Amino acid sequence: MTDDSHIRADIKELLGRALEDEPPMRIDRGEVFQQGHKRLRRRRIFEAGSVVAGVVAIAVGAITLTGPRDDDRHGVPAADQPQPAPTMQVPPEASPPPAVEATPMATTDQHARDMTVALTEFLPEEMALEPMPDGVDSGFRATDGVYTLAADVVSRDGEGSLHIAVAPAKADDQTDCMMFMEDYQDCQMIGTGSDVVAVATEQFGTGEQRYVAFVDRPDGTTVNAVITNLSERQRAAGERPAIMVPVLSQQEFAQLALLSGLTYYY
Amino acid sequence: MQDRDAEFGEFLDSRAAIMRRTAYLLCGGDWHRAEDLVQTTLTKIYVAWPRIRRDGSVDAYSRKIMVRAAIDESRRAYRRRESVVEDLPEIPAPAGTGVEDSVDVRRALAQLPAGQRAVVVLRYWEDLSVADTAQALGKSEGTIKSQASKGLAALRRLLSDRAGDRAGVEES
Repeated sequence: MTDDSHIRADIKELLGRALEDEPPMRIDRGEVFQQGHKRLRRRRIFEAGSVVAGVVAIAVGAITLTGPRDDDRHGVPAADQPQPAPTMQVPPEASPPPAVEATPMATTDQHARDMTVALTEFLPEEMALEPMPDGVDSGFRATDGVYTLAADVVSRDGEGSLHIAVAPAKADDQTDCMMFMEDYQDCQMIGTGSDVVAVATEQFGTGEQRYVAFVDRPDGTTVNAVITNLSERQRAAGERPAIMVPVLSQQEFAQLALLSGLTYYY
Repeated sequence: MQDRDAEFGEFLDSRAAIMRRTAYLLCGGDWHRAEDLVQTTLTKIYVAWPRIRRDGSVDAYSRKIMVRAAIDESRRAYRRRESVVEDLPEIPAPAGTGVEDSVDVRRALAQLPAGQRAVVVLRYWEDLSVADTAQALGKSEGTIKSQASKGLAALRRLLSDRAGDRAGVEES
């Protein structure tokens, strides 16, 4: 045994002392499976190709999902081929239960308006929020305990769409790239200290590119957001993206997710 | 889903106790936090199960998840406390600290900054190489060597201080 291995053995023995009086195992096997199933459902919402709708579905739980086929992801655009467009469809009253439940909390229209102001002030001066073709208002709405925004974003450089859901954090929420694993071209943690946002990129064969951000903030707020380089107006008109990347950079998008004005609690 | 549940269930049953011990050390000696940490880690493993099984990277993945979650959680909860021993000088190990009480080891571990604690646990409890520790923590090998050295020095000093305190109490 070398000196180094002696030292290592001593340290291991030392650490082992801390484990004396180990109590019986109390890890809840059923809870692990339950949480695993829940996370898997949530991930599959993203995986379904409708990240845009998925964010809102997570928040509101009342929107069905459609989207590009799997083979449209990450692929080369097929020239002159009609591409399936991810869309959101609001179901009739008797809709199936939501895939992911939202936690009902008190939300107010005033706070939703304040959030809209905070977001508008954050966006570059030449950039504006516009209602989507379905006529929905371009500001935040307080819905079932969650604040959501769905709007087209237009700037002099091009246009895209922006979806944001601001909700109270749940026990198992955590800012990391794990929820994006396998499904996205890349994911990076942007920021420093506790102000870190997981930002993933998704590329479709149609030329559409989406940034997806998730942050579980120290203030107890979670922000899910998606920004694209294709506006819903363009999508409805069957157009393709006119710009290569979303109208905000990943850094700007991360800053957006950390905006103090988008705090759930007030 | 049934195959996933069955396979993952076997993994959980065989590894949970081992993971809990590592988590306990990573947490600085708190069984409740350790169990929460393992539960969170297992949940994430469950989600990624098909891929990590296919890659044969279950243990590496679970270590990476657990250690990073432990550091994140520790930094959130104990940010102020950790700074106390951030820059302890490296000192030689005192001969025979005479520390018998596991409480002392736990307390000393708990006072290490989360990052140093993770390095010490991975290097010396999990027996990982410098390279594997670096990969698990997403840091350079140089940083791992430096943190291992600082972590051990701090650990020895804390234990030595406690042993000294005890001797003083006994003499008086």
